[in-house]
Amino acid sequence: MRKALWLTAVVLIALSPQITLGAAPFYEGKTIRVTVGVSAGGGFDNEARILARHMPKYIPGKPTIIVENITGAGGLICANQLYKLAAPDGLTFSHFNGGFLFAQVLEQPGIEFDARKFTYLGAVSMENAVLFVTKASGITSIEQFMSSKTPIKLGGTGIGAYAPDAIIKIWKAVSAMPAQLIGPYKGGADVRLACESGELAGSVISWDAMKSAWGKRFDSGEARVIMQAVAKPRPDLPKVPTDMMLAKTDEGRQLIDIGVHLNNVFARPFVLGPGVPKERADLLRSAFQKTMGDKEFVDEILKAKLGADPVTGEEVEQAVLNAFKTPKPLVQKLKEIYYK
Amino acid sequence: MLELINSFISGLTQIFVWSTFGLMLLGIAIGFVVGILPGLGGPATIALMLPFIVKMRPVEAFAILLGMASVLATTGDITSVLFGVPGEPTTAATIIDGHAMAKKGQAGRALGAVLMSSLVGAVFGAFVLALFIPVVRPLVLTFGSPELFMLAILGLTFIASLSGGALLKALLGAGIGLFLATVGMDPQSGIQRFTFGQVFLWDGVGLVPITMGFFAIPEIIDLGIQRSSIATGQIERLGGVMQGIRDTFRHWWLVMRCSALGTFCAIIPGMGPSVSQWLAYAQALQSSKEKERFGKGAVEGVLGPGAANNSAMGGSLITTVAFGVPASVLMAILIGAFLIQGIVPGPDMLIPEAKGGHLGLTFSFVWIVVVSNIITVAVCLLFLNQLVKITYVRGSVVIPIILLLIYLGTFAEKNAFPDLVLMLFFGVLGWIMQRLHWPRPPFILGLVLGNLAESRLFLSVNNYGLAWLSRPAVLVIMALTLAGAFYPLVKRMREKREEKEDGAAVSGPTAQQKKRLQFNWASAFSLALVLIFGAALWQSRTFSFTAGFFPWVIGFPVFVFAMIQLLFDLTGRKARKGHDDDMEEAGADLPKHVVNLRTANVFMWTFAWFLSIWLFGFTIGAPLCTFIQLKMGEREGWLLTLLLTATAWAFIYFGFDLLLHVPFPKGQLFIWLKGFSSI
Repeated sequence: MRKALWLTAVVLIALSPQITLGAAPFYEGKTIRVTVGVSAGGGFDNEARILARHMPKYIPGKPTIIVENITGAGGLICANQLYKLAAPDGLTFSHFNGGFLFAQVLEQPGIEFDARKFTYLGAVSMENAVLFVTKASGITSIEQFMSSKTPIKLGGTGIGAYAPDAIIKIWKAVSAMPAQLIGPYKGGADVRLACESGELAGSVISWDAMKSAWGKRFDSGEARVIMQAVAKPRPDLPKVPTDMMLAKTDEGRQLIDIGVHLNNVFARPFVLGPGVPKERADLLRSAFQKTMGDKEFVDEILKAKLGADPVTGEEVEQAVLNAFKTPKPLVQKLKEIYYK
Repeated sequence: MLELINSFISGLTQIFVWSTFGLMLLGIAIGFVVGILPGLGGPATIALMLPFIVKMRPVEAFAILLGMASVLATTGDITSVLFGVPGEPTTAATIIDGHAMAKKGQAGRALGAVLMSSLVGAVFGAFVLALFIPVVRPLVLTFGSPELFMLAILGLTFIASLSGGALLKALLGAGIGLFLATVGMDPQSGIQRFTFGQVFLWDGVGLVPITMGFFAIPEIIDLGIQRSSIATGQIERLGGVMQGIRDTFRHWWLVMRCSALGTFCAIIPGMGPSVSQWLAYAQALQSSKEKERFGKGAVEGVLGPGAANNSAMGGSLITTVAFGVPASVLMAILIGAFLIQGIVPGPDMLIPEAKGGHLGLTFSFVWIVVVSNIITVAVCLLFLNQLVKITYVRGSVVIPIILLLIYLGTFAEKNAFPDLVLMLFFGVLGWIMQRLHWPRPPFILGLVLGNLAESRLFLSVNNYGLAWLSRPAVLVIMALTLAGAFYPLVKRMREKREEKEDGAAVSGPTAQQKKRLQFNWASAFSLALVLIFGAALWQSRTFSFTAGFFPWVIGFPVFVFAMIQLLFDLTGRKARKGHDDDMEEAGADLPKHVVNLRTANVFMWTFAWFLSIWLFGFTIGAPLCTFIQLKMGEREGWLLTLLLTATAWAFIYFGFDLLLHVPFPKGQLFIWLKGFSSI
């Protein structure tokens, strides 16, 4: 009898921390994987790596976050894998080209996920593409561009790529833009080289990439930004017209609204797979949100010349759901524009 | 000018600060291990370093990163020579003669040659970078899409040099390679070409799995047939390494030419060490008076690629630093490092500090590459004799190790399981081609040049219509191309004429053979080619013009050539022997059925590894198969078996799983079990 009492006492004492403090946080001692859909070294990948260094601070249990590159098909393989293979335990999330989420709306073959079932943690930055031309092209404004008698050669990186190809094609579809899409170049860097050698007159790239990769050459006037592909002008580009000015009809406005501006919101998403328990998903979302406000995080992002224009998980989710509400005729029109 | 020299010197002094130098040594050490083991991918490891460099100063960050990168090509060559497994895809060309030398017991000489030529190549490349800095921008900017297309075509003419005597087979091989380069999503039209609905094939077929399978698998089969160590024959004299070094100086001009080739190719966006290693090999072959030695262990075949794949570092740095155009995944990561450090690659990197640029930093890169290579080669030379001993370990132990390295190396490139299947497929193909005396390098050359040629052709036509054909640089390259294509043919016609005059026998079908058709494996292979290309062309009939252009331009001639080759094979006509094939065939002295049995044995184990990895995952499957193969297959002792199994497991678990976080797929068996338990 005594022995049993002793035993019980010992057990109770041993367990007491558990009992009093509650169970240890789920993420304690765990490792979270972030799978990135492109190979290491680019801005996209850097974003994930910088996030991985700062987000653990805001997750109870302070797990380690590691980055894995799952490349292929521009990030589609990564997206498919997240949907089909990741366990719904909240230990994996992904960073891939959000254009694929829209591609599902356009019924592109090869999509093996349902974007509506993902949980969106948010985005470090909205996409914010700009149209630029080189000094050598002689173009100084969008009006001059539009009134050019000869087609102006803009570089593209391939069918299905959101920027620059899809954007340029949408612009051409809604206006009589005299642009000739020359491509596909292997990547933004090759487009840039072709611009420098005079083979191209310009292209459409993200404003952050412009500031980082073109850097001083932009400042010195080597490259001029003449239009921005965003709904509201950026604070650091107040005088540059937005692309909505190209649309002359309601349909044109809708095409730009959905095809470009809506896509901007979910272009660089951090995505959690389907089926994750709500408390964990919310925990991660809120940790993501707090990281966006973390000073060290923002400093590192800016130092790496990435954009810090965060979007919350809810906003991304709403944008994706809105994309799926696109009326059928517009979907049809966009399909023609994208894939012709 | 003065500022230039200032920057040059400041670059040097910057690296001899203890912290920087120490980091460089650390980078070299890591790169050494990573490079020598295929699979511990250079890019993956460097990406791992990115978080650590955030807090460093730029010169420190690049000391460690470049220290690592500089070493990879050199140590990759070591694996190629010793095991016949490409340590990096850019060191595949070294296998052909380098591994052949190892098999003859001349591993030391091969290693000495490859190390020394690598050092010369690296230093050359680095100094070219330094010297050309003022002119490099205008130089690279003259190469637009039309010029790049012509350069790809020029590269293709080297095929003739790589064919030895089997020109038709070489052309076919190159054609197959070029055609294979079209597999994937056509970026022009967005349609899928020959992907059979597999998303995995959207980006085309990967170079790493193909190179691994193509070269490494036939080598282990040979090893299995021989049933001996890699090196047969007498143990090499101790002076082997020194002889290799002397060889480098004896063939100084070759090494210089190939270094220049490597640097130049690396500057051209789209070409790079994957291409230049083969061009260098072709160069070495073409310029030799005794071409038959190649493929059997000619040291020039080691010197050429050795120099070329290291000199590429200098050239790649130029495009990366001066233009921000990454020549490879490795360079892309370096650009990522630049950005993290807040440096923008571009013209600024070539402007002296005095004028607000970063030229001193750029020069410090040059010096890091040079010094890293010197240190690496010095260290390697110390350990070389130990490394050479590996070639005397018995094959039964070496084969499982090589299989482990092959599978890990193939997987870790893209973390894609289907790559293993691809590797096996090309392993079988490579073995067939080796057996049937088809030269293998042209295939690889076609593969690596195919994408460049096609994409730049369309960019040129889209942009300039046909006007690009009259650009001056294009015309110059065209002239070089025609010269390059016809010169070897003319030379050989002349040689043939001389042979005939000497009364040498023309090897045609003998009177007896003429009577009946030869239904042998050679014919079967040619027939298979005809059928496959027929089917591929049939499948491509629905392609649009832009999507189908390249496949048709390549496919139809290949189809025709394949039929001609089939005819040759059926009638028993032999082409002059190529050089790739003629290592005295493994097991030439063994009865045929023994050779077949042992070949089947090696294949069986290769597939057993695949099965094991598929069912149990890498962490369990690989050590498991190591154990089974060593104990039951080769009947090795318990101690050795357990030791090697434990090492394999530790290597995978600590190196890949914990350190590199390589996302191994779960074993299929466990997925099934989980499926059952949840029912």
